[in-house]
Amino acid sequence: MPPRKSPRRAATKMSTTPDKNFRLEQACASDDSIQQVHARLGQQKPDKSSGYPFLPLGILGLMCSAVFFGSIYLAHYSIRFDPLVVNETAKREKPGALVAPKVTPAMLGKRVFTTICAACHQVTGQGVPGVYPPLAGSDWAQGSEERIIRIVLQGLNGPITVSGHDFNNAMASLGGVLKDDQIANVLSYVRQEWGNNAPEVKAETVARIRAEVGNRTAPWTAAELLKIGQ
Amino acid sequence: MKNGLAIFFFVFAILGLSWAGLLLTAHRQLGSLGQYKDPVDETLYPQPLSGVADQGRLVYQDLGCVSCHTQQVRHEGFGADLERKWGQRAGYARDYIRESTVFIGQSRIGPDLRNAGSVELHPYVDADYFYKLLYAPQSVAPGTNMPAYTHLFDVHPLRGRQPSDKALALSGKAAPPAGYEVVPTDRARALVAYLLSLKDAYDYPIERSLNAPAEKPKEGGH
Repeated sequence: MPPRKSPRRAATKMSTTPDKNFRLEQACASDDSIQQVHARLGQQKPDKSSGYPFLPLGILGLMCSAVFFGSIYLAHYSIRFDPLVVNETAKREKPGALVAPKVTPAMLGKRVFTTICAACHQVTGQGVPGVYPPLAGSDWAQGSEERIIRIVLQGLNGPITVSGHDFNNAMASLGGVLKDDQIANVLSYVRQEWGNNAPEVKAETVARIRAEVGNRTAPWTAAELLKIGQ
Repeated sequence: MKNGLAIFFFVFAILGLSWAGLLLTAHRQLGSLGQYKDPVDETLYPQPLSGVADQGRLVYQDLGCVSCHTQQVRHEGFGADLERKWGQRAGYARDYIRESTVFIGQSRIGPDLRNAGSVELHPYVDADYFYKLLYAPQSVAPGTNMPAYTHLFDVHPLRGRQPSDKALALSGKAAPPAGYEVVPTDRARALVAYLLSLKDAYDYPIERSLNAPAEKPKEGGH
């Protein structure tokens, strides 16, 4: 909507009525009359525009800088809105990347060991001197996996020399109690705990030996085992 | 009203966006956090409170402990919580998922209690310590400004009987008059069971790897 012209202003511009002070057709208006017209126009305030006034530039600038500061702050401290992260200074490879915890067979085998094996071989793996052979530092435990898998599957009976000490006792058969992966895990634990350093035992190896042995239920003897897995 | 419809929609949009951003998004993220099953010991963490400790949680809420004690441990480099032995690690969101009322607190007039029951951090902590702290705080923590919660205890006259095995062994100014004994009530026992259960001992592998400090911390940076 164009600004409404005041009647007075219209009169100053296009007046057809004869005016003593102001006549357009007059060839040259006097300086006085021009001064008067300008003075009259200057007294008039400009018409207000309708609607809301535009924001003052200062406040607009303040708001823009607040939004800018907020964005920078969020970019640095939002930790990408990840509910798992509390430390905004933490180093992160990729946003949202979950680093899966690494679980080794030895870690899983620890439970089996503490519930079953530790009763005789002790939690420390030291065994009981003269009664139960040690596993820590044992040449048998770190030796051929063919032999120790058979020991766990069918048990062991009779004299055996472990790390230079003689033992004569019986170990129960655990092939019916433990599954292949459990045997593999617990043997991996035994082979890598207490300073032992031997490769892990795979569940496939246990399954293969279980199939090879077949229906045998009699416990092994050390002499028998020494012929296997040279 | 002039422009009433525009004002209404503008206000509605602001409230709607705030609700979606602050409540809905947060709930979608945190509400979907589940317990973590440890692959080795096959246990779900965080573990639930025992029955007595869960009653003690209500006593803790009832007594307003949260107005002076927080239950949040801040991470390394943000306050000295770890140096004050208030925790072995920063608190994660997953620590709180089983709590229907989270006593996270906002004012630390007393120490943080998130790991109050952790014997690794506080070797002196046991049930007897907490009973004495509640009945006569100055007797175990001289100089503390903690008020005494004597109404959680019964002071019985002995009348020649054998003292209860639950009676507090108090000495000095805190000791009851001769011929009397101080016995914790059920509320005190529940509260102490709750305090002893407060420990975030389990460290979640995923959170630990995601919150591992950067190798080169920026000096004065963000």
